[in-house]
Amino acid sequence: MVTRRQILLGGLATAGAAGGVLAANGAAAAQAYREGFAAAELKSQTKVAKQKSSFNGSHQAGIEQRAQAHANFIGLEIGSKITKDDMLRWMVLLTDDITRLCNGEPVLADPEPDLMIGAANLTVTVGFGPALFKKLGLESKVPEGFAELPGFKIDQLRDEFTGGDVLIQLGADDLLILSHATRALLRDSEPFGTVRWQQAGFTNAVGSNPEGKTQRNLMGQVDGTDNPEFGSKNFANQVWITGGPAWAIGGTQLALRRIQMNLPTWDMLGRNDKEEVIGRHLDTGAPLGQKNEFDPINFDAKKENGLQVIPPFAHIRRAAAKRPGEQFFRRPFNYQVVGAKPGELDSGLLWTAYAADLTKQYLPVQQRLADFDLLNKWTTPIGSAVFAIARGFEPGQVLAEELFS
Amino acid sequence: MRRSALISLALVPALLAPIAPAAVAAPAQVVVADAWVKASSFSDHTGGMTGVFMKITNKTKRAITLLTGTSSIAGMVETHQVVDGVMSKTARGIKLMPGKTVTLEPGGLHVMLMGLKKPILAGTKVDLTLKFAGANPLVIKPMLAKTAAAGEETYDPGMSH
Ligand code: HEM
Ligand SMILES: [Cu+2]
Repeated sequence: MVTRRQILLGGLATAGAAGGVLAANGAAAAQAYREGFAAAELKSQTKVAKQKSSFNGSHQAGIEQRAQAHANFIGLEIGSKITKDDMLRWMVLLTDDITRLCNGEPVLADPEPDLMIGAANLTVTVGFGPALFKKLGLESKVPEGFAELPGFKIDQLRDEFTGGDVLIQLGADDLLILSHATRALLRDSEPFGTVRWQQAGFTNAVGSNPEGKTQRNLMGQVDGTDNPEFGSKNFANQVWITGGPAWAIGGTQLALRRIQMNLPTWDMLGRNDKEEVIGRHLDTGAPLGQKNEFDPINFDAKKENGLQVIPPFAHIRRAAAKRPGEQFFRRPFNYQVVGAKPGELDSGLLWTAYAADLTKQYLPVQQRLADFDLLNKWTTPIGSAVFAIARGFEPGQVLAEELFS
Repeated sequence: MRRSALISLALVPALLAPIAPAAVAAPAQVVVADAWVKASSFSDHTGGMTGVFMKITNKTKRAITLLTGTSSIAGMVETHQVVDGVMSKTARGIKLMPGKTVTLEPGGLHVMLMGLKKPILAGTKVDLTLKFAGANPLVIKPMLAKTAAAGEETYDPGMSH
């Protein structure tokens, strides 16, 4: 099928290829048109693979940008003999790999280079867990507010999704490209550590949702509305570290929580009940009592019967900042894997908080929700890990060099 | 536009700069791309050995031969081949035909670093200057050492060349 847009693109390409419309004769013009059309069509068919995300700069990629269609979070544990010098060599390898992969190129010595047909917006984000700083005697380089999380009474954490010395977070809009990039990074990480866990997440495919539209999670909720806007001062204040050890200035801190959803019991709720659990409408994502997703939340509004429009138990009431600074950036991915029993699906969120200081910004909110949030009835944290994310790197710089030299 | 926004395709060559072929004095006679060194149990100790791999292009209109090289990390540099899984020194270097690219890869032609003065581990940077018949010496940008399973050949420590 040929769309009007493709015809337009074809026409433009022809004009370019023929250096104007002054083709020598009619047959040549027709041929030039066909070639231009085919080139434009091919370009349009491979446009997802051809997209690249910028990956150099003061911040690492994969945070202040739309969640890609697919993500892999990988937690590694370093070998018992690994030194700071070894870590630096690992970072040299990762830096080279990231540079090539995010350009849509195979890594050096890629055994299957033909698989790397583009970047598909690939991003790679690298961070370090609290245990790593202890193992390598780097306690003086721990950013302020970064520490192992306390246990919460809602937690049912499993070892296979918890902890880790090094995080490699990958996102891409093509699963095959993501898988190939993941394998490349893991192959080059082998001399330094072992994979403790690997967690795969997803959102909608590119082209399924309008650009910039907030994603839905597997409970059907619009999830990610009340987030700082990309490129805003607000975002920078909430997310990027501005002081302390140099390697982390421009970096951030990540709390990654694997939160299982009990969808069979959630499905049984009526639509009104579901909306009250969160405090937002399911269709628009608007706060209860409002029309549009980004309308301000009125926590004081009362119904005629005197009850609060947004109930006391509602997730957004409990989660909203009670004191200045209790805010952070969420960039969740859905997960779904075949469960232990036949016919059972294990569904949930790879829930993320990115904050300049997890202790100040995230911990009080998490504590409040652990104490009381009706949503807990259908959700269970089964994995948990925190990582300090290094600042970004410029061309020629090595990722996290200041931490390990 | 926010800094994390998509970059335009026009920026790509600039981003590729750090991994582009090594710069040589103009006019380039030989161009090397994607050079790397294999890190393995044969290279992780002083006195060890390992292979160097790359794409190497003859930019001139006459034949050039890669003969040998020098590296601060190796006592000896040779050109090698692998035939039927057995590695040996090539009789007359590695021939580069005019305008053609030769790929040095595991299981095939390679440059051998021998008598290592320091261990080569994954992530180690290695310098190398290539020496030719028919072209000026070429200093390659420091190469990365990587572990790689491909073309696993036997490096017999007692082999004779
Ligand atoms: C499976 C678990 C969870 C689900 C399904 C979920 C879902 C939601 C939904 C649908 C919203 C409303 C839309 C939005 O603003 O994004 C929301 C808001 C929010 N959630 Fe969650 N959430 C979960 C876990 C958590 C956790 C563990 C925390 C923090 C520790 C958290 C903190 C927040 C915050 C801060 C807001 C914004 C509140 C405001 O408007 O001020 N959520 N969540
Ligand atoms: Cu050899």
